[in-house]
Amino acid sequence: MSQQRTHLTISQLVAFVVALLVVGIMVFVDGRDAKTTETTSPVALEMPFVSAAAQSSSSWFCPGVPGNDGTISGTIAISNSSDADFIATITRLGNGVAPVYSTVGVPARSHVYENVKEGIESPYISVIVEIIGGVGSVEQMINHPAGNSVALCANEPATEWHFADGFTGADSLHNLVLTNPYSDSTVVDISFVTRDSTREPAHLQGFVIPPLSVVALNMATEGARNEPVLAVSVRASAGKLVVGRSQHYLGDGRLGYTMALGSSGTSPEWWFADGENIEGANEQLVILNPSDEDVALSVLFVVGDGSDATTQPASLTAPAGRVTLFDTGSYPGVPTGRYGMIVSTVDVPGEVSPGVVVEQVINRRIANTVATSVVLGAPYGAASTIWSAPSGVSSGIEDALIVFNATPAESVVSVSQVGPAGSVALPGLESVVLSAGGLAVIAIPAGIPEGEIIVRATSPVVVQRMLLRGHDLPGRSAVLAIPTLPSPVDES
Amino acid sequence: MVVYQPGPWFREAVEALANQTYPQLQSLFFIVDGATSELDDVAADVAIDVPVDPADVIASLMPHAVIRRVSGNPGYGAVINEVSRLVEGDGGFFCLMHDDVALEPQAIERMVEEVFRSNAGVVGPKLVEWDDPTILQSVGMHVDRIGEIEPTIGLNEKDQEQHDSVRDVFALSSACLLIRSDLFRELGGFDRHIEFFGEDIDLCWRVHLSGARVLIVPAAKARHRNQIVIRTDAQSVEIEQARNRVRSVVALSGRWQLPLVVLQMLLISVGQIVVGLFGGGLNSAVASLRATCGAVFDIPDIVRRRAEIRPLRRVAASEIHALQVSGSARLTSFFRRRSRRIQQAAFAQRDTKEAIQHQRTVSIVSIAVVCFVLVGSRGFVTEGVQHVGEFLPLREGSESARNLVTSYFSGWTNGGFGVAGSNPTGMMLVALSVVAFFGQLGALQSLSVVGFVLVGIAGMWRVPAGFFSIRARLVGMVMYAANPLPYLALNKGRLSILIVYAIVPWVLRMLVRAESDVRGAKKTQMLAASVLLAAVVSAFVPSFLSLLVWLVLLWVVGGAIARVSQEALRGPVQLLGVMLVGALVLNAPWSSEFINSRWLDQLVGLSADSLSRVGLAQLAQFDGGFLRIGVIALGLYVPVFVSVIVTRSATFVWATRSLLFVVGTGLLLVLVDADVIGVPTPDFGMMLVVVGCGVSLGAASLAGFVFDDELSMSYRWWKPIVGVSVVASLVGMLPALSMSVGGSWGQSKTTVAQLYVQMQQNPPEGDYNVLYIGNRLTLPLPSQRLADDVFFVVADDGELTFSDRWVNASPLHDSVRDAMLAVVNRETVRSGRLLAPLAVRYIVVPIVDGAESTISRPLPAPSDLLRALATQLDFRRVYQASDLVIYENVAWLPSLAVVDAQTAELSKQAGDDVLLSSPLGAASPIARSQGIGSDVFQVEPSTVHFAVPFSERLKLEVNGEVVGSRVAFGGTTAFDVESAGSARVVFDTPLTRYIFVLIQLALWLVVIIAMFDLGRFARRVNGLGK
Repeated sequence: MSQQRTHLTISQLVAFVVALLVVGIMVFVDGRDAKTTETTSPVALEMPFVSAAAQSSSSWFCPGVPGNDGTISGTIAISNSSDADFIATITRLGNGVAPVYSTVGVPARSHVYENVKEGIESPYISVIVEIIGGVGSVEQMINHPAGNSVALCANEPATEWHFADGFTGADSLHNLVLTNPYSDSTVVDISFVTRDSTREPAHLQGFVIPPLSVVALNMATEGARNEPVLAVSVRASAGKLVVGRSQHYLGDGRLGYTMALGSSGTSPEWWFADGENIEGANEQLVILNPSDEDVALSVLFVVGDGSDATTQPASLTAPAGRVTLFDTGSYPGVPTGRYGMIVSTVDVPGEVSPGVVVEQVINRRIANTVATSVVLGAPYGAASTIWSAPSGVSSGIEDALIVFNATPAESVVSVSQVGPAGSVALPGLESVVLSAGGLAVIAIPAGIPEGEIIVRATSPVVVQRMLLRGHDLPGRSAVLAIPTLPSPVDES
Repeated sequence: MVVYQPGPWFREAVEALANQTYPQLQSLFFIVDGATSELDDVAADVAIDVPVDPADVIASLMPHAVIRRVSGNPGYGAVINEVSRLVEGDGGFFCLMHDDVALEPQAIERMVEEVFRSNAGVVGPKLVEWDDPTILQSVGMHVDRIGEIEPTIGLNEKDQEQHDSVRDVFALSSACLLIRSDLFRELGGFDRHIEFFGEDIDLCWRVHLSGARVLIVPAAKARHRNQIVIRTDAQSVEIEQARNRVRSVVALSGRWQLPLVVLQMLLISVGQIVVGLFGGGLNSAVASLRATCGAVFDIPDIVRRRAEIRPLRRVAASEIHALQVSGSARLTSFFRRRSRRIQQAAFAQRDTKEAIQHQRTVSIVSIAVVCFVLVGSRGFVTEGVQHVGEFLPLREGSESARNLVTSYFSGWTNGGFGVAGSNPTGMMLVALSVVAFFGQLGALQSLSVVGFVLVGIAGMWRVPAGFFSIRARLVGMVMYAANPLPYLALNKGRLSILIVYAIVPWVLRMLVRAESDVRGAKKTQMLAASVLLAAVVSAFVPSFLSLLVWLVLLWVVGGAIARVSQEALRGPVQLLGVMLVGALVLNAPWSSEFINSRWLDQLVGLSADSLSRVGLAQLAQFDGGFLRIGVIALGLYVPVFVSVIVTRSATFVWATRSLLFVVGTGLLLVLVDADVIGVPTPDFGMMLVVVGCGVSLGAASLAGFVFDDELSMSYRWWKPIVGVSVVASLVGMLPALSMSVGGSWGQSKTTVAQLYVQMQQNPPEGDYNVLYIGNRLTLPLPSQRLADDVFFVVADDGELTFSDRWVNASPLHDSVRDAMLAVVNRETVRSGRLLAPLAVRYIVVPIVDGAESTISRPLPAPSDLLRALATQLDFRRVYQASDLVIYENVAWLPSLAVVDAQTAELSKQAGDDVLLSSPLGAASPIARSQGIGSDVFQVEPSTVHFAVPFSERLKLEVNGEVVGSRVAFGGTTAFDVESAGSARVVFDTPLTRYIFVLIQLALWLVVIIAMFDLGRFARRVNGLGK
């Protein structure tokens, strides 16, 4: 037997130590956080937007148009602001009828209007517009004797929809328009919150919406008659859908007609460009907290970058599962005139508060009548440097566009219209200076032709349109423009 | 006694007979003609240069003996049967003897006593070697059910009275046996058709049938030359033996056992031929097969003989079977030979005294390891392998040898969308395996998956052969078997890991040999074997080649650290080069398919950003966090670290390399896992096999050192550390042991594959494709990356089978990728239309596959993907549960169909806009045949669309006229038919394909021949011819 040494050799020691070092390195490296790769995830927003990313197609799901009343008409505006033609396929869905398909070409730098009711008969008709091979935007317009209404169209169906505001007082008509654009049935659970209670009617649980169809629910007949407060939540347990709200106000302080797309989720922050503390205007924020936790909120009123730019924010609590009404006129700190509002949740340290849904209701009393407008705010993340109004704006009025600077920096805004020459700035609106956190109320000159209006800003803003109600009705209806997201960086 | 060509021993044999103490002995000698030719030899022994007739010898020694001359050579049995005619009376015994048996004086007396004592029918003496009576030759024979003799004594086994008890045996050697005369007459003596070889078994079998006992009487002893083979042609001996054995078996076996016995004989014969081709024993194997097949021609004789024997059957055939050895005597014999080699290795140790004990230890532990694997795998045998992970089923339709070979030659790969190109070599290898298993696909799968584990363990035993003592090698082998990695691979259906686990030790063995000074033919054999090994493995696991590079790199670096000479290190590097080049060449032209943008993924593996984080702890445990007690498997690492500080000199080289295997591979894995370096690596499981080898060899090194030093009883500083490492290792084995309890290594009984049957095969509405998308680990086939951790793969309709795993790159996969990216990025809600011309009907998202993701340990569901899919307007939910989501693309177009006019027009254009603008429509689907092409169908002037990548070799034959193909939708194939008639789609295989395949076959043959020493092979074949 060979004689055994009894000590370590240098090479053994080195090998052992190096091995231990490597193990140490392994432990150290393993303990580090993994390098995170930057991934571009699709924008998820509770309101429609124009995608700035390259897309093979884009789809727009419009909330619906009443189809059983000859006095009401609906139109879809499809605008093409790009320099290339594109094709749009239009699918009209009704209740109990086969979908109607058509195709329309939209030339570059132009727009087309499509009659919603063409070729289909149904109590409510919803339209899906698929734009292929180009960038476009779509809106739905309803010509209603009680006041015209413009509604945004969703980018995609969702599994939940919320409406903070609703009203069936004085037998006002409140129809929930549920559109299922899929070949599968969609099953939903519908609940609503009144001033007194939260209700989940059994017959609205597991409610089935047949494939490729539109179902309208009159909330008064569904158990919410004469309710001055009526928030609705629709949650799909199978499938997805698009939900709109058709409101015909008949009294109790509200008059007019609105058709609006719901909010496809909650948000911790809501921006309103047009707050009004004006003689005759009664403004109310309607806040729905669909979660099962109370949420603390602050309401910030913003008027510009001066020392008195902001007032002390209002604090309030939105109880879980309830609707909270905040009458801004009753708040002592509210500025006079027009202002922007930011409603945001206040996080408890260490916890993230659930989001809410906030709508702004303004009843404008003019002479002996009232004009009611309801606007869903711009959710967190919606502020953009580009906003589009595919159906255009009301020209010849002083407050056609309200632009709210969402940043603490000054911004320059230009308003242009899409025409044969492309996007051309309107005279006098090439560069409107907007102070930090300030508002710009922009008048659109009378006589401009129809066409898509595009608002560009040097920093993210929120843009709201004030629209004439038609039929010589006084007051305004209001609707947000459509942001382009992710917000393009301003190159000017 | 039958005298035939007697030699010098004859006189001694006669003398021994003459000296018997049994008083009433009468002798009868049959002298067979031809015996005189050997008389000179006898004469030389008796009186120099005086020729003597054997009759004279007999007469001189036993004057009263009766001598009868027999003309010709009718055979031993036929001659000896004359006894019953020539000797009268039924009250005595016949002691039937060869002429080369020398009985001890009391032998016959003792046998007769025992016959009376035990009421036996036949008894026989203990036979010992003629020249060395201390060596045992026969103490009776045990026979299995196909007549093969199981040796009851070892080679050159010393007679230490260890077999000296009287006992029942199945048969006795005809060299000397004592039988009751009445019984002999009743049985009709030996089978007259058996000249020699096998007559004893035949007779004794019939004795058993008659209800009499057959006993060995060791107190009676006889020397036996047993050199009849020298006096006969060896070739004819084997043929005779086999023929007589088969005749006896088919004539004597019970009616109900006969079919099974014949099948067993056939299977074993074929198996023997396969083994015999390369490992020896070919002649006897061929003789066995020939005899088995030849029994068909002897059917009339056999029937007649069975009729003759029928009156003698007094004992049920089942009782006779109970007397026979169950299993295979040949297999037992094989294991005995293996055991003997181990014994020889043990004796080669310096301490011969303990060698026997070590040999026993090796045998016991080896059996224990095999039992452990088999017990843990028992569920695979009883219930079959669950089709999880890569354990895709082998089916008679798609995986029949004929189909595989046809596909291989066709030049069209069916996997995925199918594509014109070279088929994987693995397809041919599977076809050969199917043939070798007689089409028993379930058995092939079950045995192969379990076999891989055993092959790996056996390989680890071989790795350090010649360097460590057998006990040290045993430690390495046990440590390798105790690694949880292969059992987790069985659990999760990770076939590639199992294959690598089986092969890496053998590669290491080749590296050991390459480092030694192997030259000439041996080196050629070694290189050829290594090339063949690499080619076979890479045919199934292409990334094995990159693992090979890593393995050799570590081996060489480890050697350099341990100061192995550069000269020696050159061998492994050379071996690596030969293996890489050889594997690619032998797999050509399939290997040319790797020349595409995904070559790195295919030949190496995925890069870090495509892999989900595993973590050091789970990597080190080998089990991916599968076991609750997995952490204690870390104990397996202790010896490898201890070995590097304890071992010396040559053992230190092994210890260094082992440590490098562990820490080098571990560091690489951790850096990749933590995304510190972005290099692509082979599958982590495969890389962990290298770590496992390091752990095993480290333990073997340590054991080798300790066992070498064990004689020293003095205290060594390292002994406590070694003690700790032993305890740690034993504890570290518990996770693997715990996995064996369930019987299928914890494999899930319910798998997602069972739910795939919802998607019907060959439906009337047309064939289709299925898109599997989701987490890479839950997808049933090798997949491509889509985005982040989302992967996808396409398969055709019907059950997924083993062939589906071979998918060559196709431009249509890019189309799928684009469509699904549009889904994930929310660019369109009409991706169903983009997938329509690709015939993608179902989109399947497996979440719980029963392997990597289980109910109890599910992987996170790809929620973003599911949300995105739910948005698609053309996707209809077919199945939605926590384990699986299936959507049906309602816009799909059948895989092969006559399309409507609008679709035909659209098909002439390319691009997403075309597809998105309007839905496609099929006028009538067309049934596809197995593989490429279709059955015959009637067609009107129209456009036929085929959802496969465009190929000019795809043709539509209408009334015998060929309609050429054109590109449809920018990637698929269409045929514009102008006249009505009977049509079918065909693929025109290019001539070059056949040429390439023939070249490939030739190359494989060359390598195989080189591996097995052409000269030896030729000698065997020549010997066979003779």
